[in-house]
Amino acid sequence: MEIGIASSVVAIMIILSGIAIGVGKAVGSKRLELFGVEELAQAMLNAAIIGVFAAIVATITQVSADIDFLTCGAGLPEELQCQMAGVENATFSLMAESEKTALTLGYYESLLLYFGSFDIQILKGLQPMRETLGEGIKMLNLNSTFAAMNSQLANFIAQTMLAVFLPLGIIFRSFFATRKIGGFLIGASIGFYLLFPYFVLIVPSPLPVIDNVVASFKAVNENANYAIMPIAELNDNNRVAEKLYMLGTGDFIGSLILAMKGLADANGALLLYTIVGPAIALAATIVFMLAITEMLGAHFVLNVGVV
Amino acid sequence: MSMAYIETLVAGWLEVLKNIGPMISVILIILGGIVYGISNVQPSEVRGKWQAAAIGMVVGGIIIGAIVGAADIIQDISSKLLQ
Repeated sequence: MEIGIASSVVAIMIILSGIAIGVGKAVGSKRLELFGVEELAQAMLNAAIIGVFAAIVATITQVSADIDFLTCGAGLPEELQCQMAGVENATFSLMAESEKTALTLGYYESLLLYFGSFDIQILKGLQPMRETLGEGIKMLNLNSTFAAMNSQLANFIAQTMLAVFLPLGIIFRSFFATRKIGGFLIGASIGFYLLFPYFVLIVPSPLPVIDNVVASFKAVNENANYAIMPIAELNDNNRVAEKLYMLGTGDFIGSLILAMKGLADANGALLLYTIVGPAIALAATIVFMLAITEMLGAHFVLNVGVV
Repeated sequence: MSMAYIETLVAGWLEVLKNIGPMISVILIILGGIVYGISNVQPSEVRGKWQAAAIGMVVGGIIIGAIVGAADIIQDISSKLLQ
């Protein structure tokens, strides 16, 4: 339907350009005549673009699908959507495991050994570690939100760029007063369909890092030596002391530090993939869009503009 | 406002322009003829200007007629340029 409208607008512009050339000639207005020539040339180019619209869409889709690193999507935007959804799920798993560890830390931090006249909170020193872990989990939540946002954005790009923005761009480009908007929409549709997902996807995926960190947290959460003891046994100093001994045997702090270092690595990789990568991709896409707008929104004959 | 409405609207504009184009063409050609005729009863120092204006009108009218009349052909041929 959009192509039908674009064809009609092109036909209108051919007739208007003919009238402008003729009237310009009749009243001796060189400016009007040049405007007509300009618009006739633009209308012919637009007709040519409309004529190969289906081929343009097919080519863009094919280029998008021929990228060799696609693993789960049919094209670049679909791949980005799929990858971001995968990253969001993996981040959620990591959040679940790290939250379990944070709960365990909180539990051990609160353990007290009673000795009648005095008591000792021997693992009180876990507090900074638990707080650091909490900050890491908050960061994971932020990264997960950005991954979800990128996934939604990729879905929007896949659904609308070639089906809505490209035809609209061609319609707007066909009319002299909206030529720059048309060029911008054409540039935006191609830029967002091809460049944006490509630039994000060339950033190394954080999934292998996340998988390793999940394994590190599982090593803490599923270690029998680190498992929390039933509340009923907390009144028994001997059981508490035994548990503390087991924590030392299994190098609880060492395992925790390893997992927390992994959490920092995962957050770094996620930050790069879900925030920095898309920001750089957006900047590159905007530069491309501006260049295309300049190219497709420009005049051929003379910069006569709108008469 | 649906796309079908816009399509109908644009098609209407196209139809109007297709009707107006030949009218402007004919008006200019006739006006050119009249101005050319009048130019002959003008003093010799301004006669040239009148004749140039008349020829401009006739040529303009012919150009409009040609382009408007061939609009569909121009569009059809142009659409195959990149194929």
